[in-house]
Amino acid sequence: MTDKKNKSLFYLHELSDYKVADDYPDVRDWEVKDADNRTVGKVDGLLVNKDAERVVYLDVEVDEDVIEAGHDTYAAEASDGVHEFLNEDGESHLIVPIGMVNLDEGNKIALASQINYETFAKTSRFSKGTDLDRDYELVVFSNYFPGSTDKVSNEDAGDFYKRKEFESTSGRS
Amino acid sequence: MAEIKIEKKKAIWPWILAGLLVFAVIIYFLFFRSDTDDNVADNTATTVADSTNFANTSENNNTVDAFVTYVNSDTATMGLDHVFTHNALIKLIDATKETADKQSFDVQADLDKAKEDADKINDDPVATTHADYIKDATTKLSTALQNMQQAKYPQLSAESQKVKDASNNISTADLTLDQKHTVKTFFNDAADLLKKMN
Repeated sequence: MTDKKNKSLFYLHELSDYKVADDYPDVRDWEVKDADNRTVGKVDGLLVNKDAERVVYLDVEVDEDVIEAGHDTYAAEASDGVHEFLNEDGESHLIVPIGMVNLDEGNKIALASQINYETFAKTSRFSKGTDLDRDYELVVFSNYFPGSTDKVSNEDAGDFYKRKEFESTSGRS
Repeated sequence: MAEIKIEKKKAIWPWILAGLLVFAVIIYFLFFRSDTDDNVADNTATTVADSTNFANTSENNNTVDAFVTYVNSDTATMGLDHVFTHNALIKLIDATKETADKQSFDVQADLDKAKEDADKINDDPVATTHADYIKDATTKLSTALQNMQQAKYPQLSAESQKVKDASNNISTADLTLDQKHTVKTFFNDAADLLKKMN
């Protein structure tokens, strides 16, 4: 394993000299819904790439139901092999790439239209405020995009966040 | 697909500084700029004591400046009472005396008489006779000034004539209260003449 801490990834609230740009919504505290429009939690933080000056992940605090569903999932898969990151009590956060959500500004909803409930339940979680590293990002990626991690593991931060999973295809630039 | 950009916050302290400056300026203008009425009242209290000293050997133009300042500071047009008139006359007498002394020109007789009139304005509480005293004083003073002008300042004949005319305009038939503007005009013209003489 190569990477240590991903130095370019920060929680926005840690950066005292930065804020959400004018004309862009601050989606913290917005509801997060899955592909079936079912609520999975709320946005608790924004993870930003300081160099690119944009949000790359939403830090989502998932609901109790999702955590419970995750317990069931892991219980069923315990015999399949080693999962590097087993969710412990108190670990109620996960990250969602910004490019995978649509923002409903009127209703303040972040819709993760490509991620279903089961995927949310299975995704490795962390406790609030944890500094995240590339290893965790890759694990999360493998949850959302099975089979893709081989290609991304050697990319540096600049290239990594240029992936389509972090891009917007709306009119904004 | 969503995108959320971040940007650096703008520093707020320059705006706080500017706000404080504006606030300070406002406070200054509200509290530290003196009200002109207060100035007149102060002058009234302090000048009665020293204005009777004819042997005043002050620096050049002190008495003229004092008279001009006093007349100009009365923006309410002659304050409503005889105190202003008395003080203005005394200051005018002092200023005329000093100007005459500088030119070694004798106007003492007229100035003495003008001073008597000025004192009577103060001593006599009956307002109806004030106009008489004022008229007499301004006549003596304008005469003294015109004599001095003719002898020593030939180029100021128009100015001294204005002073004479202003004095002539003061009517003994009317109350001083009704001709505040006329009396004020006399003082203004006299101030103008004295400034040019010095």
